[in-house]
Amino acid sequence: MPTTLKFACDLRHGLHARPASLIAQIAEKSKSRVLVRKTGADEADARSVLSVIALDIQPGNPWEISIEGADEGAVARQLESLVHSHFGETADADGEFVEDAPARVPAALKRMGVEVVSGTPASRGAGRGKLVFVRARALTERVPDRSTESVEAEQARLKRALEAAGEDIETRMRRASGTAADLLAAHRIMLDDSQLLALIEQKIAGGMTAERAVAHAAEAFGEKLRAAASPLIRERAADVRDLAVQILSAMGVEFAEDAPTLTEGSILVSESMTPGQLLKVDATKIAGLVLGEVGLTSHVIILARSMGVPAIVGVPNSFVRSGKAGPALLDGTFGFVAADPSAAVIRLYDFDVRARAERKDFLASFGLTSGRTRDGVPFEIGANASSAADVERAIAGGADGIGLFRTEFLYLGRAHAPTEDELVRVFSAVVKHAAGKPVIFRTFDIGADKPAPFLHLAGEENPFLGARGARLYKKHATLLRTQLRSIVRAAGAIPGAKVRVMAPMITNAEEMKWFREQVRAVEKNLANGGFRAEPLRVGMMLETPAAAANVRAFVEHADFFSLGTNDLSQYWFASDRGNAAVAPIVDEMDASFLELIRKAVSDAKSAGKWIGMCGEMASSAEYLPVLVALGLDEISIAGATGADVKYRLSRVDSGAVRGALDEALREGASVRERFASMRSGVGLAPIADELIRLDCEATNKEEAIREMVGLLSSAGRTDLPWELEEAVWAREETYSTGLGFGFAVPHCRSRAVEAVSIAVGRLKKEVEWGSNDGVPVRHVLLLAVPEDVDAKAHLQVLARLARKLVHEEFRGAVEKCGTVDGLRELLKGELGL
Amino acid sequence: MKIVGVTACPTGIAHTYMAAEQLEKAAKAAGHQIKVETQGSMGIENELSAADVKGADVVIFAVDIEIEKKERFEGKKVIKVGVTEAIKNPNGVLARASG
Repeated sequence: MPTTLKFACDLRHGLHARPASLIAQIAEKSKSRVLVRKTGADEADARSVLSVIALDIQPGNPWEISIEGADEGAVARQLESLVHSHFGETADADGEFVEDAPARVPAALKRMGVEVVSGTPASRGAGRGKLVFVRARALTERVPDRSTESVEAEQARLKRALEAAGEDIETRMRRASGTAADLLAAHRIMLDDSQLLALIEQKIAGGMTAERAVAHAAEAFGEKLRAAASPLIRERAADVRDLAVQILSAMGVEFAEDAPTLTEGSILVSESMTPGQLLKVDATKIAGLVLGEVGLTSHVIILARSMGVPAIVGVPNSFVRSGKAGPALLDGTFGFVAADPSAAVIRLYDFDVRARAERKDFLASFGLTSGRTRDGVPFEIGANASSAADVERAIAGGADGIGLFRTEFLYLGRAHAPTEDELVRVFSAVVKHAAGKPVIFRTFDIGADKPAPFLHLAGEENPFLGARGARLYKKHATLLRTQLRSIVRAAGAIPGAKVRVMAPMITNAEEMKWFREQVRAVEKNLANGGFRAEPLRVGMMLETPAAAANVRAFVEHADFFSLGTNDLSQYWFASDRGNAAVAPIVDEMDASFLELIRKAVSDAKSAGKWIGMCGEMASSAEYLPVLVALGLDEISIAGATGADVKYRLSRVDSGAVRGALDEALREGASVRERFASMRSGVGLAPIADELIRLDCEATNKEEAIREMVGLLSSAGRTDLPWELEEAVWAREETYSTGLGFGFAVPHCRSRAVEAVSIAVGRLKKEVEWGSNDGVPVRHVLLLAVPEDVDAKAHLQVLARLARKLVHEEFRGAVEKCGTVDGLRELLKGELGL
Repeated sequence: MKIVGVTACPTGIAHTYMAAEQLEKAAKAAGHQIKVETQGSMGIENELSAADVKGADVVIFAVDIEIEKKERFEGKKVIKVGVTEAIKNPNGVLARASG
């Protein structure tokens, strides 16, 4: 008798790809036969994500999992706890793109009665341009017409393409985080989908070419998914298509045809597009993308985001096929396109354009100087990079240096090791783009999850605990020396270069001593040949608990340290971060882990050594205050957002966070909770010059609110202006905030704002606000209060302002005030701020 | 004349306080003694004591909603107006209270 677990589906969007892939991960590893069944209807092999989601299990539907086999009991327990944990689904806190983001329309547009076509938000921002329809051809029409070789040859072709596509997804997974990483993981599992593969194999056996078989199988599966009731499951058709495109691309099928020639700013509309197609279009003329059958993690959407092109997906076919050209406005934040927008709609969105430009300037200003906390403590913000282009972007984005240059990407997936000259070329470009800022090259970190075929590494029972990183260096000393030579040569060739080198996966002092000797030997060797260069600073990663807990043992051999928290945390918690069943055990905010880091930092500092952090932990905005509190010299982050992080850093008081961390650790309190209540905006004045504008252009209430929210966004008081604006409107809808006498005080509490902030605007043209006395509004004071701040402060400001307003002297003084600082001082004094 | 008042508007955010301020301003200008309790989103502020009520010649309610602790004013002369009227025309409200 199989064990049967019965549930009622309580997932908001049904049993979609992510939960299905988590079930599949468990089923894949078990020795039992695991079936998922929609009660009273179909059943599917749990290892086939696509078949499971095609069951179309909707919220409220009863469903079952049955398990039969050797490890039935253990598997049942795992699955049960997975389902009861709601598959780890949480509310999406930071506004990332998620597949179930509701398509919405901003309140301002609703009031204006604008008709829109909705889709799923996919890439933020808004764009305006002419609609250009691009016809998408069926996959089956795109595959080349060639005659079939032997079934074996076609199968081999398929296998190679599947491997290449799998590696590509895995590489992207390693660089992604959060929801995107989960969705890529779902893609990776779908690629192994037993049902899909069986269908492809069957078609090959029936005499089709591998390309044709993939295209036909994908379309057949797509049809099945498109028939589902849930839009989320229908969207998986896009994933299948995207996967098929990746497999076919790996087979050399060219997808870049059908690229239109654009003559003016355009919004491209298509059922689906490929990255190649998008890259062929003149990027300066793309105002946005409106796609039908494309998933949020597809290459084309990721590309659109990196190009800053607003995009929405999942729009109805009726729109995609309508072919009705003409001007349109696309909002990739809310997820809609409005055809033929009125002048009023266009004006409203022009306020965003201004706010975005001003915000960019404001944030960029933080990138021009090195990182400092609010109380002036230096804290370098470095960046992680894997290519010269990454370095260029990171430095332009305001990084203080490259805290981790991963060299292994030059080795992975290659049949032969790169030559010294090739490495010198790449490293020289890296050093050149670093523009005199320090670069830490990490020598190749190969093994475990990052195999290099030419090394012919033996398969290991437990690769993460096996020969990887520096542990391979003695055996492959020539490979290491070649790399070190190229780093020394690149460093010496560029005047003013600040190049350092560090070793991965060091566990004991002997390894580090040996590594340092190799660097010195290489330098000596080059010097003998007449190559003169400064000796490199030689450091090491701290990613094994043995090394991190005993930094003192290494200070003799290492000039600096960098904490690799990805590996360090999984070794510390003995949990594979890639295994959904145990990943939640890894908690970087756990006291034991923080104590480990704190000790490593303190040991390094007392030996006078520099210590940074380059793991994912360093890239999380949530952790920044804790990282400052730990006393690190540097963090090296993913992406080119150095200026942004420096801006957030400028809000952190190092003394306060250090006190909070010490106290929490001493008392055994939750560090996460302690820091959650410390907002970065603490200490910012509610009224500041950059929040006051005396010549506002708004011509109606909608524009005035958008202009005020824009001020808050430009000054870095909110990262989610659209959300703040919605909160203001929600409040506005209950009762007009026009107080009379020509004053309006729109206000809200929202998590979207960093600190109690008042944006003050004097309008060039008075606008109607629905005030009690019918007087149009000339002065707008928009008050935004963080959700976790005591409401009383917020209400007191409003009450005080309300009382002041009935006094003619106050109103007269505000009216007469002609300068920004004058108005700032007046309001500060009168409102007691 | 000794006046006590209560102001309260539906949201309790601003108009409650504007009405209180207007009544206080107008009463003082006219040489009356006044104390106004606000029942807003911060709860009851400047609360009227039994002695305040007892000593008052007249009570002004500038309210658009039911107020709390209404029983304190039983038996007193009460003038009831809307919040907007108190903001727009506080002198008119005072005139009615004196009449």
